[in-house]
Amino acid sequence: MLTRRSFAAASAAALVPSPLLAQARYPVPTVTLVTHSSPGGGSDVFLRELIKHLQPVMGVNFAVENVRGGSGATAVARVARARPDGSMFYATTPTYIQTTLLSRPEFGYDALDPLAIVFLDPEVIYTRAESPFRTLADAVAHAKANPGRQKWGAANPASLERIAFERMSRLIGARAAVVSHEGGGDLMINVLNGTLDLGIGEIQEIRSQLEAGRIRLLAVVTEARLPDFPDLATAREQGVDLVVTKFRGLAGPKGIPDEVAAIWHEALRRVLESPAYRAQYAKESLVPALMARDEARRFTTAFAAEVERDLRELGVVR
Amino acid sequence: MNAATRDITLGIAALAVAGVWWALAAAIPVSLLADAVGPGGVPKAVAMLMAAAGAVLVLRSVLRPARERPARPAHGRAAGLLALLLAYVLGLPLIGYPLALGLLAGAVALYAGARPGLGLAGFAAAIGALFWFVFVRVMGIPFPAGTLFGGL
Amino acid sequence: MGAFTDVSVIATAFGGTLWGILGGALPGISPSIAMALLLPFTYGMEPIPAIVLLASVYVGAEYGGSIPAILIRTPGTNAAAATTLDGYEMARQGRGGEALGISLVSGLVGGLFGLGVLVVATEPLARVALAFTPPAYFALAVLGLSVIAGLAGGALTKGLIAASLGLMIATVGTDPVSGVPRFTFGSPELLAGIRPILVMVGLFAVAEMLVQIGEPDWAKAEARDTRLKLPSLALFRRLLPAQAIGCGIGTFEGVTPGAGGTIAAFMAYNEAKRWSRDPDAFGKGAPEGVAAPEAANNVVTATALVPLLSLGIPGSNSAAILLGGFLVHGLTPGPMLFERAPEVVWGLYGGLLLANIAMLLLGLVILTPTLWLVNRPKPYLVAAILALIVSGVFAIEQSVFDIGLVLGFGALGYALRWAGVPVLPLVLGVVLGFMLESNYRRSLVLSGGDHAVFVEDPVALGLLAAALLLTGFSLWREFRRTT
Repeated sequence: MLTRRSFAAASAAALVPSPLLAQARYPVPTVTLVTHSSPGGGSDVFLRELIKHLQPVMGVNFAVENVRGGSGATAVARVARARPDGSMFYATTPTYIQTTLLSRPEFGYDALDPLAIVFLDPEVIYTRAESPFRTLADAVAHAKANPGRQKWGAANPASLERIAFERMSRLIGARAAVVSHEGGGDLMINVLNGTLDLGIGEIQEIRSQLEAGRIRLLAVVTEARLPDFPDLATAREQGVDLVVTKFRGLAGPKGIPDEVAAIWHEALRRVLESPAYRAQYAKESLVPALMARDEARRFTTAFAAEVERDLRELGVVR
Repeated sequence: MNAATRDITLGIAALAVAGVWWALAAAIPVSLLADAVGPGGVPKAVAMLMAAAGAVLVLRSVLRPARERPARPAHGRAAGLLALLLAYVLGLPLIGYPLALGLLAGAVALYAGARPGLGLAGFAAAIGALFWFVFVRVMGIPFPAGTLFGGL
Repeated sequence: MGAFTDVSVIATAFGGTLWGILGGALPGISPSIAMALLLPFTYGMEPIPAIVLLASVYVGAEYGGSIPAILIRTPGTNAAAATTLDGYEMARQGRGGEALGISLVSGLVGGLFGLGVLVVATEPLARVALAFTPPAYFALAVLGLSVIAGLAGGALTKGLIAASLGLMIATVGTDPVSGVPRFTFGSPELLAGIRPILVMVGLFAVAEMLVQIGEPDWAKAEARDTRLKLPSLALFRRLLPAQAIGCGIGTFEGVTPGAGGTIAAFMAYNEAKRWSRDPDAFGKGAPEGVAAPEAANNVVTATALVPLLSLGIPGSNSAAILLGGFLVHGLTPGPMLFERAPEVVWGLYGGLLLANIAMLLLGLVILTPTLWLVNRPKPYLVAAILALIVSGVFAIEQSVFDIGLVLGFGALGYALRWAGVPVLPLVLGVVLGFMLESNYRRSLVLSGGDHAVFVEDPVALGLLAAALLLTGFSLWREFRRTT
C-alpha cells in the first residue's frame, strides 16, 4: 500500500540492525518527525537525510510527516499537543519563530521545548558574473560613493535576509533599495538579468548558478569562513559588521524526560561525526553546530528575543 | 425583486464592501520595511475601483432601469444544502472523516430526492469507505479520526 | 536511449501518469501535491526512473484536471478553470463524451508541441525568461487582466465589481513588501494568502450544486453521450487554429516563471474567441472553447521546465518538486546538467514523451467509465460530487478552515450568479492580483518611486501596449454589438 507512513516504517524495519546504543533503550518504538515544509523542501530533505543515518544509531523507526498550512503554525500546534514521551518532534528553523511573532497563533514557538540545534545554514552575498564587483568591499565602496543608487534583493518580505540587508544599508549609509521576492527563484532571475546589484541567500539555493559560473560570491555572512570556500572572506573581514544566523534543529512538546534528551544528544553527536553523513552535509555546506537541550533552549530564547527586537524596531510587529 | 432593485442592491453592497475594505486597509500598520505605496496602497486603490463601479451601477439602474424579471431560484433549497455542508465541517473533527463523509453523502442524497432505504444507506457507506480508502490509505493524507473516538 | 525500451521504465511512466490523472482529477490535489506524495518513494529509485515517474505524474495531473472541469464544473487544477466554460456547457447538452475527446486530443497536441519546443529551444527561451524584470511581470499581469474586457459578457460594470472583489481576495495574507499581515484577522491560516483553487472550486462547483439542488432535475438533453467520442478528422481540422493559438500562448506563458497555465488557458480561450468566425458560440458549448485552453495548459506543462533546466530556477510549484527529485539524486538542474548528466536530461524528455502517450492510452480506457459515473441519478451524483469537493479541499493543507472558505465562496458564487455578476473577472483577479501588486511595488522600489519605469522597460512597454490594444478591440466590438 502506498501510505507514506507505512512505507517509512517498512523501509525502516528493513534497515534496523541491533541498536548500537545498548546502554539506554529509547522509550518508544516509532518517532514521528514533523515539518511544515512540503516533500522536497528544505526541512523535509534535512529530516529525510538525517533519519537515514540516525536509524541504525538509535534503533527506532522514523517517519516524516509533512503538516502544511498556517505558515508552520499547524505543524507546531500538532507537535505541541503530542504526548511528551519522545514520540514526536518538530524540525525547527527560524520560520517558526517568525510566524509566531507575525501572527501570534494559539501555539507559538514557545509552546515547544527545544531539543537540539543541529546545523547552522550559512548565508552568502552574491552578484552576477558580469558585475564589476569582485568583493563585498568593492560593492560597499561603490554604494558609499553613490548613495541611493544600489539595488539589493532578498527572498521573502520580513525574512532574516531582508532584515540583514536593511541593517547593512544603514550600517554603510548606502540607502539601497532593498527588494523582497517570492522565494529564491524570483530573486535569482533579477540578479542574473542585472536588475539587482546584490542578492543574499543560502548556498544550497544558489549552487546550480554558482557551478555554472553565472554568479560570483562576494562574502559569507557568518562568524568564520566556510571550510569549502576558504577564499571567501566574511562580511566582517570586509568591514561590514553583519552576521546572519540560520539554524536547523528539533523541538518537542514540553515535558520530555531528561533521559530521552540525553539519548538524542548522544545519537546526534555520533551521527554528525560519521563520515557518510559528514560527506552528505558538507556537500550542502551545512555547518554542524550541535547543542544539547539546555544550550538549545538558551539559544532559541536569545534568538527569538533578537528577531523580535529587530521586527519591533522596524515596526513589523508591535 | 425586479432586475433594477437587484442591481441597485448590488451596487450599494459593492459600495459598502469598498468602504469596509478601505477602512481595514487604512488600519494596516506601516512598518519601516514598507515602500512608498505601503501595504494599504493597492487595497485602497482596489476599493476605489469597486466603489466607482458600484456607484455607476446604482446610477444607471436608477436612470435607466432594466425591465426583465430575473429568475426566482429556490434560495431555501440552497440554504438547506449549505447547512448540511456546514454541519459536516463542524462534525468532521468530532466524529472523524469516514463517518462524517458517509453521513454527509447520505444526507445530501436524501435531501436531493433519493428514496430512503437500504440503497441509500449502502451508498452512504460506500462513499465513506471508498473516499477513506483513496484519501487516507492510498494517498496517506491524515484526515481527522474523530476526537470522540480518541483520535486527533 | 536504451532505457526507454526497458519495460520497467515504461511501466513507471504508465503508473505515474495514472496516479497523476487521478490526483489531477481530484479537486484540491494539485499536480505539485500529486508529485510530492510520490517524491519520498523516488528517493530509493535509480535517477532515471525517478525522474520519469515525477515527470509522468506531472503530465498526468495537468491533464487530469480537465476531466472534472468538463463533467462536473469542478476544475481539478487551477489551469483547468478555463476549460469549465465550454466544456461543462457541452456536458450539460449531453455532449460530455465529445468534450472529453476534444480535451484529450488537444491536450496531447499541446503536450507534444511543448515537448518539441523544450527539446529544441530551451536556450533561446531561457533568454526570454531572463528578460522579465519586475516591470515586465507587472505588464504581463495587466495583459492577463485585459482578458476581462473580452469575458465580462456585456456586463462590464458588474465585471469590474467582480474583478475588484478578486483583487481584494488576492491581497489577503502577508504583504509582499513589508511582511505585515493584511486582512488576516489574526488567523495564521490566512497568513500565506487564499489559494486560487479554493476560490475556483467554490465559485464554480459548490455554487453549481447550490443552484442545481433547487432545480427539479438536470436540464435534460434528449440524448446523453455514454461513450468517449474522439473528434472526427473534419472536427480536428476545424480545431487546429484554436490549438495553434493555445500552443503559442502556452509557450510564452510557460517560460516566464510564476505566470503559469491558468493565465495561459484563459488568454488562449479569449484569443480563440476573438479570432473565431463565430465568437457568439463561445460559452454555449463551442468545441474551440475546450481545445484552446487545453492545448495551452498542456504546452505550459513542458515549457515551464525551461527555467529549471536552463537556469536551475523552478518556475512553478511542480517544477520545485521536480527540482527536489533531482537534488536527492545528487543532480543539480541548471546549465551544467546538460554536460554532467545528459542522460538524465534525455531521461526527462523521454519521460515526458512516454507520459503523453500513456495519457492518450489511459484516457481511451478510463473516460468512458467516468462518463457512466456522472450519468448516475442526480441525488447520488450531487452527494458524490460534494463528498469529492470537501475531501479534496481538506487534502491540500489538512485544514478544516479551507473547507469553510470553499463553502463561503460557494455561497458568494451563488449570490453573484443570482445578481447577474460574471465570476470570471473575479477568478482572474484572484489569480493575477498578487503578481500585479508585488511587481508594481517592486518596480517602484527599484525606480525610487518613478512610474516611468513601466514604459522604459521595452518588454513592459510592449506588453502594456498589447493589453491596451486588445482591451480597446474588445470594447469596440462590444460597443458595435450593442448599438
